[in-house]
Amino acid sequence: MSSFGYITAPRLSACGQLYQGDIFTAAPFLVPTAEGTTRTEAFPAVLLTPTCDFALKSGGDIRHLYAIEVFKPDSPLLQRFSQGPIPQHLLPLPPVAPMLPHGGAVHFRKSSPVHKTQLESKEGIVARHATLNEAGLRALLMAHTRYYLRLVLDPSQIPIPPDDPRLLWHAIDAVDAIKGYDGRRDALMVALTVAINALARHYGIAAPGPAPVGVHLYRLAVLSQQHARLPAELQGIDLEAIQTLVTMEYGLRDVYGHPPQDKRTLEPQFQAWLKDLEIVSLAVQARNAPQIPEQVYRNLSQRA
Amino acid sequence: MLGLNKATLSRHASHGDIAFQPVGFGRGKAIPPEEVLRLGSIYRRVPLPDLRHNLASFVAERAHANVETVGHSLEELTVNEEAGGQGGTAAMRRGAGTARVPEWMLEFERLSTSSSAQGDAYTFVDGQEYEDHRYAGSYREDTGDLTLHDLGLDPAVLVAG
Repeated sequence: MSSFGYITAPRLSACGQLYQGDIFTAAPFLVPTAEGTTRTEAFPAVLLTPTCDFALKSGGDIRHLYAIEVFKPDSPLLQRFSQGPIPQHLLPLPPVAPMLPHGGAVHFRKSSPVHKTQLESKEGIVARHATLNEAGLRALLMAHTRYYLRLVLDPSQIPIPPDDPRLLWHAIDAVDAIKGYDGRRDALMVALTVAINALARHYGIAAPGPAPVGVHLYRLAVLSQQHARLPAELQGIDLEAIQTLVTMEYGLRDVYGHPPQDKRTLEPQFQAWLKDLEIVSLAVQARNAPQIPEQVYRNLSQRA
Repeated sequence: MLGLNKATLSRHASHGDIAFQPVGFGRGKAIPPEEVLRLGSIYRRVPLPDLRHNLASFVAERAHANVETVGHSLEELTVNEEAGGQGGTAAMRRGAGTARVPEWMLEFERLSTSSSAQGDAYTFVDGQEYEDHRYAGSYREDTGDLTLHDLGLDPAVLVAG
């Protein structure tokens, strides 16, 4: 697993969806007063589902925030974290410039509901500075569950929805971290698998059970080929992203089938594919993606 | 599934007696469901109801279809097979016109002939399937001993001034 960190723009799309682990510099935090009223304060916060679910519920209008304490060099908590165990109601956050120059901590005892329109507008997500990377999200979910259930889960086994772009970013970074040709080729194939599953789930055409990734790619390809036959309200699918994946799958298969004499000649192609996968990671962040019902897909498939 | 030796199937396939699709780099062969049924009814190594059941489970999982629906279609196919007689491969009989091809079978057939779903695509199946909300991993009671390291944090990144 990679180390706890953050994802920022340009990977994180300003106009994309909200995700668990989104970090806000100044979120509208609801503070109860002694008079029985509430007031709103702008506060650094992290977005998290209010229950022990591992996926953020996109339905409903209410989102949930937890306060972030921004550390200073002499913060008592900073001292405490470096010396001993982590208290159950806290999650340490590593530094990220310029918001958390010395790191910070999520306080699970300090939470606030917020109307979704306060966080996302047509122009984009309001005051989102970053989102946690895959390792960070897993740590957040683990710490959150620990706070409520007093149980310590294995973070590597916490389920993350396949269309969460963090899985794809992690897979892309894994390719970058490998030097050898064979390793990079295999890691690219893993990243392609993650991308196909993500996009298929993004459009609601991935089967919930175990299915070969080829089935998901086939379904995406059918959507792309039969795009004109889709009802108007479902036509907003990203054809370029789908075509990118289909082309890449062909290309990678060719690389496996006919490896060149000089493997170094493939590096530019590998780089191009990595850029393509970054584009797909933007596509899976799109808000309100059309969800293709099974029957609509079936009808398209019959005509394919 | 048929109780037949792989070499036997391969030999018949190479003689053109069995309809199949090559998969992978020519290393494997995929036999369509109706062809499996035809072979099952010829060789009778496995009772037909058992074969239908096993085949339905196999196909339903891959074609994302209901196992009972697939089983029912297979049963109809077997009945037609027995009523309509033998002769020629399944592919040939399909060419001659089939009365009704179930929806799941169309998808299954297309999957087996689609270049994007074929061959290598199956070799990089993601073994780790996610369920969005259910945790199936291990856990332990919290004894208050969680450290930065357990959270994937390097203690060096959080240093008091």
